[in-house]
Amino acid sequence: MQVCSMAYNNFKNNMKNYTMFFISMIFSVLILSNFFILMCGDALKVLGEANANYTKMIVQMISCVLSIFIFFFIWYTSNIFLKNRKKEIGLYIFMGVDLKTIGSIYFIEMMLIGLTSCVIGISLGALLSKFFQMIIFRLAGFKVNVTLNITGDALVYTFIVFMTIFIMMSIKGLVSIMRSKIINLLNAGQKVEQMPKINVFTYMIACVSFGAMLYGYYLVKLSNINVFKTLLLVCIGTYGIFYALIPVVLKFLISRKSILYKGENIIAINSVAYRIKKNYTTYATISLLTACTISVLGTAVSMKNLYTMSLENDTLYSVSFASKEAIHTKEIEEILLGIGKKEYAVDTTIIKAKSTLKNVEKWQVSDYNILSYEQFLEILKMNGNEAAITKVDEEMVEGNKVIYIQRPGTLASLIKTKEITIFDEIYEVSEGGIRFKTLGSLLNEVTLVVNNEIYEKLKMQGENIYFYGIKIENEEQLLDQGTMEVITEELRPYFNEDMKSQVGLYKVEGVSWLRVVYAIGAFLFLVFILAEASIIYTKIYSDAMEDKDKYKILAHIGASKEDLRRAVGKEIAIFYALPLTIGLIDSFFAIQVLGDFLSENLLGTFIVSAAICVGIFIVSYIVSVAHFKKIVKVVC
Amino acid sequence: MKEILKIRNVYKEYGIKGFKTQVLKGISFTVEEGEFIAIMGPSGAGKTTLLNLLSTIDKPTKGEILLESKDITKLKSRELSQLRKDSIGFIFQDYSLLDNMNLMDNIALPLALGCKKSKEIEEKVIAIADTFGLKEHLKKYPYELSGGQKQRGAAARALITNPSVIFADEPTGALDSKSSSDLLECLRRVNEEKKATIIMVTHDALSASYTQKVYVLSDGEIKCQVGKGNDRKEFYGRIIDLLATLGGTR
Repeated sequence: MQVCSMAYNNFKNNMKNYTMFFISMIFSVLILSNFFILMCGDALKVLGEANANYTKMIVQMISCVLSIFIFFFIWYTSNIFLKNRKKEIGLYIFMGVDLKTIGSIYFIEMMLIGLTSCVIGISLGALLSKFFQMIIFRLAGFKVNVTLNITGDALVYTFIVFMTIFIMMSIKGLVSIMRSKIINLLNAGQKVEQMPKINVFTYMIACVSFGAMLYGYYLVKLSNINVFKTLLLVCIGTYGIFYALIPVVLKFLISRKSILYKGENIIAINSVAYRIKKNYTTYATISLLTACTISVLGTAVSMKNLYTMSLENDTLYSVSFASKEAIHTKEIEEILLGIGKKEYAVDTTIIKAKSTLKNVEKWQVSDYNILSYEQFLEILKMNGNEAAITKVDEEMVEGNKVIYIQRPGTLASLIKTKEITIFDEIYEVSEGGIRFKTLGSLLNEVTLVVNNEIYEKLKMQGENIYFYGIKIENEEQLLDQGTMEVITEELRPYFNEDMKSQVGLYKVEGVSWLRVVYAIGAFLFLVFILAEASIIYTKIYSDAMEDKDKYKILAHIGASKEDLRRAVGKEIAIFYALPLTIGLIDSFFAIQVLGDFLSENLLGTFIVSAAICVGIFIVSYIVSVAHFKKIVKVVC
Repeated sequence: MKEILKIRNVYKEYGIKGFKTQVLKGISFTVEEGEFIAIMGPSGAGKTTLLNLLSTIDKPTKGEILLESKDITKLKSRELSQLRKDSIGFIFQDYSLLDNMNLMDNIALPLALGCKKSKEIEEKVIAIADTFGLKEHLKKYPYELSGGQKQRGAAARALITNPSVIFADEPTGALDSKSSSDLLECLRRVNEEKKATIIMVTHDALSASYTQKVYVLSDGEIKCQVGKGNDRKEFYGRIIDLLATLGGTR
C-alpha cells in the first residue's frame, strides 16, 4: 500500500517535471483515437459502399503504421523520461529502499501517467474527432455534414493499443531499473560521455556507407525493379553516415584550427562532435522518417492526381460506345441531344490486335487498341486535347516505333514496357510516359499509335472495333435515375449483343476513395513531421540541461552572452539541419522513384513538402533556441 | 611598482531585508603588479565571496574595486565579459575544463572566443603547454587526464590571454600532494618569469607558503597579513603560527 501512495505522491508532485512526456503521450493517444474513430464510425459511409470499403481498408493500414510509429515514439520518450529520473531512483536506494520496491514505484507511476494521458487523450480525441473529420473531408473536397459519431469500439481499440505499448515500455523500464547498479544510478546525471574514437574502421564504415547510398541511387536509376535493394542500401547508408561519415567530417573540422578557432565555432563544433555518437540513431531514424513521410505525401498527392486524371479520362465523353458492328451514331446522338447540346463527339474505327508473345504468363497477354498517327491527332483535336499534340511528332512512329498509352486507370507500372509483339512482329516503344486522353475509359486496353503503313498491315490481321463517344452539356442529368431509365429505353433498339457502353460520371464515382486517401496522407504527413520536430526538441532540451555547467564555465572565462547565444544557435542549427538535409536528400530520390513508378511528376510535391518540413523545423528551432537562451540566461 | 588591483572599503550582504547576513565588512587592500598573494581563513570567513567580487562574478553591496584603475563595480555586462576575456584568468577547484573538447581546444578557448588568428593561437597554446608540462597531452580529452594534469590545463587556460591578474579558488583542493606542489611550482614560476599577478584563495598553509604575502580573513574582515622572507619553509612555519594564534583553521 505504501508503494502505491508513494507512487501516487510522486506522480502528483512531479506533474510539472514531466509535462513534455505527458504532452507527447496525450498527443499520441489523440491521433490514434481519431483514426480509430474514423475507422469504426459511419463517417466513411457517405462515400458509398464500395468506396467506403476501400477507404476503410486504407485507414486500417494507416492505423497499423501509426501504431508502429507510436510504439517507437513511446519507446523513445520513455527512455529519456527514465534517464532523467535515474538520479532520484539512486537516492531512494541510498535511503535503503530495495530495487524491487523502487521498480514497483516506477511501474505504478508509469501506469498512472499512462492511464491519465490515455483518458485525457481519448476524451480530447472524441471531442476533436468531428473537427478532424471535417478537415479530412474538406481536404478531400467532399461537401458533407459531419456528425459527431463515436463508437465504443473505437475508444476500446485506442485504449488497448496504447496501453499495450505503454505497459510494454513500462516493463522495459522496470527491468532496466532492476538490473542497474547503484553507482550508475547515482552518477547517471554526471556520467561523462566519451568522445567517439575515430580509427581506420570508422573511415571504412564512412566510405562503405557513402558508397552504399550512391550505389543505391545508381541502382534505382538503372531500373525500378531494384527498389527494395535500394531501400535496404539507403537505410544502411543513412545509419552509416551518421555513425561514421559525420564524425569523420567533424573530426576533420576539429583538426582544422583555422576553422575551429573562429569565435564560437570552437564551442559549437566540439559540442556537436561530442554528442553525435550518443545521438546518431535518433538522427538517422529521423532522416529516414522524413524520407518516408515525404514519400507518404508524394503517394497521397499522386492519388489525388490519379483521381483527377481518371476523372478527366472517365468524363472525356459523357457516354461512349464500342462495338464490332457499326454503331447507329446519328440516332444515338439525337436521343442524347435531348439532354443537352453537343460539345464534341468522336466517331472512329480502331483495330483490336492480340499480343502474340510466346512463353509468357497469362497476365502478360493482353489486347491492344491500335490507332494510326493521323487518327490519333484527329481524335486529340476533336476531343479538346489539342495542346497534347505538341508532345508528339512523327518521328515517334517511324518504322517500327509506336507510342504507348497505358490502360485507363493504371495505378502504377513497375516495369516500363520497351518492346511489344503483335502478330509475331516486334515493335519498339518510343514514348510511354504520357497519358494521352484519346478514347476515354470504356476500352480497358493499352492503346498504341502506329504509322499508316503498319496500321494498314494490322488492319488485315486484327479486328475492327467501332467507337463512338459524345460529350454533351448538362451531363449531370444522366445521374438522375429517372432520366437514365428513359434514355436507356430509347437507346435499346440500337444496342447489339457485343456492344459496350459507359456513362462517364458513373465510372468516376468508383474512385472517389482516392481523394480521402489523399486527405489522410496529407494529414499524416503533418503529424509525422511534427513528431519528428518534437523528438529533436526533447533531445535538445535534455542536452541543454546537461550543458548548464558548461555555460557557467564559459561565462567565467569571458564568453559574453552574445558569444554563448551564437554558439547555442549554431549548435542547435546543426542538430536540426543534419537529419533534415540527409532526410531531404533521401526523400528527393525516394520521390523520384515513386514518381517514376506512378508515372507522375512529383518534383512539385517534393518542393512543397520540403518547404513545409523546413518551415516546421525552423519554428521548432526558434523555440529550442529561445529555451536554451533562457537556460543560458539563468547561468550568466 | 604599479598598483593593479585596489579594493576600497568593500561590503557584501546577502539575504532580504531584516534577515541580512554581512559577509564582508569593509575590506581594503591593494595588490601590486607581479604579486603572488594568498587569502586564507576559516570556512565562512568570506574568502570565496571576496574572490567572486574581485573577479567580477558578483557585485559588492558597497565599496570600490579598481582593476587597472577601472571601477569594475560600475561596468555593464558586455564590458564585464570583455574584461574577463582580456584581463582576468580563472582557476577553479573543480578544474572546469569542458569535457567535450580536447586539452588543446580547452586551453585555446579564451583566445578563440577573442577572435585571434588561428596560427597565433596554436603557437601560444603549445608554448604555454610546454611551461606546464602538458605538451604530450594536448590531444587528450579531460576524462583521459589525471587531476593534476587537468588543473595544470586549467591554469594554462587562465594564463593564455596574458591576463593582468589571475584568480585561483582553492586550486589544490582536489589534488594529491605531488600534483599540488607541481601546480604551485608552475604558478610560482609563471609569477616570477612572466610577472603574472596571482591571487589565490586557500585553506592550506603549505599552498599559501608558495606565495609572497598572505592575508588572513576572518568573520568578513582582514585580521592580519604575513609577508614571505627568504625561505619558504620558514614562511610556512610563520603562517601556521599565525593561524594557531588566530584560533586555528580546520
